[in-house]
Amino acid sequence: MPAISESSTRLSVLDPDVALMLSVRDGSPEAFAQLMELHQDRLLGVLVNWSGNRQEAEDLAQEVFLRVYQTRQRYRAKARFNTWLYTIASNLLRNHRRNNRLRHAASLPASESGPFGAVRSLSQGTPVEMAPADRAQREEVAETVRRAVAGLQERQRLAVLLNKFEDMSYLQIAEVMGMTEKGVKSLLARARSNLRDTLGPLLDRSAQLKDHES
Amino acid sequence: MNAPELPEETSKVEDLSAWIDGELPRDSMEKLEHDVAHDPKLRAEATRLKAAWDLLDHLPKPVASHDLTNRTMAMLQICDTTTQRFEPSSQFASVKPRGILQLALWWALLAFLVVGGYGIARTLDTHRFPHPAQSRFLWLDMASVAPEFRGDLEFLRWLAQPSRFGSDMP
Repeated sequence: MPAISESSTRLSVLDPDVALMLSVRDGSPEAFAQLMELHQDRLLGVLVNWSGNRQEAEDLAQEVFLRVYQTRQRYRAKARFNTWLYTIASNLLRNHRRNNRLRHAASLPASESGPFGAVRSLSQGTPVEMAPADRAQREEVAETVRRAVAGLQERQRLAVLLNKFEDMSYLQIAEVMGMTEKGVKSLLARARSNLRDTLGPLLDRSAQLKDHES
Repeated sequence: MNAPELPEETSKVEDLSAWIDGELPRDSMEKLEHDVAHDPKLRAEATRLKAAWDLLDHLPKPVASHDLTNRTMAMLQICDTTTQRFEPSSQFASVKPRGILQLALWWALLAFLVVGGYGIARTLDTHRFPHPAQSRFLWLDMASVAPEFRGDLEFLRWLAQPSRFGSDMP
């Protein structure tokens, strides 16, 4: 159909990943490997911060990519590639959480039962040459932020992560999560309010520090 | 330091949030920017919402294992091979392990009912007819029995014994 192929071509120009995914659909494993390399870190970022467990997140990322490949024949270039990728991820997360909710609650010790309980070792990127006090402070802030995000309701958390990590618009988030744009606007506003409340003490402290410095 | 009060209308917070994300339509944006410029409380609220959001930059940004792509590609090869191997009988692919288990349970229940039913029937039969010959079907030529005795089952059964006037075969 000319109309579809025309829009596919236009999208392929706007989003090179669409062209790669079309190659995957036509049976190119090399294109798939390339897509994986391009998206795996950011996908993992979303999944780690959503689940709070590095190993679980990596397994989920692998499962997402497997599903992308297995459903490649159904791919239609109607939107950016990451909308397709995260729609699959969102469905997988929903099923995964539903299936494992009870198992997780039963198997994790109380101190690690939060979604971010097991990612303390993830604060990579802290410069080695940073002073210990600064590093400790940075770690503390990171931990507080992780816990605040973990405290968000699951849908709020996913919307926040898609917006923050993937820089997705409300329209894209709506497509990924099967909601309206208005719903996403409301969801993100509630998430922001919750984060502002949870991170309030941290914000107050940093405001005091700024006052003190000035 | 007290947190600024939330604006009364939820829609105001939603608009503030969308404004920070650059998702507010132009007309609403102009109105909100005017409100923010003239309302210190609203301005403080916007600043705080944005500051909280900026703290999310502290979230971990992990790097995938160097072999994730290779492992996934290997999995795909396995899946492809498996799909090809089972393609001729793909109608069974939709039978999930849980469905198989349920089917097995139904068969087990059916077998139990059949065996149990047979056992119960046999027990009752043995109880009613202690002698094996009594539980068999016996045949008797009723025409040779006088009408006044045809209603007496015990007498008919006695007559139908193969050693008397009956037989095992019709």
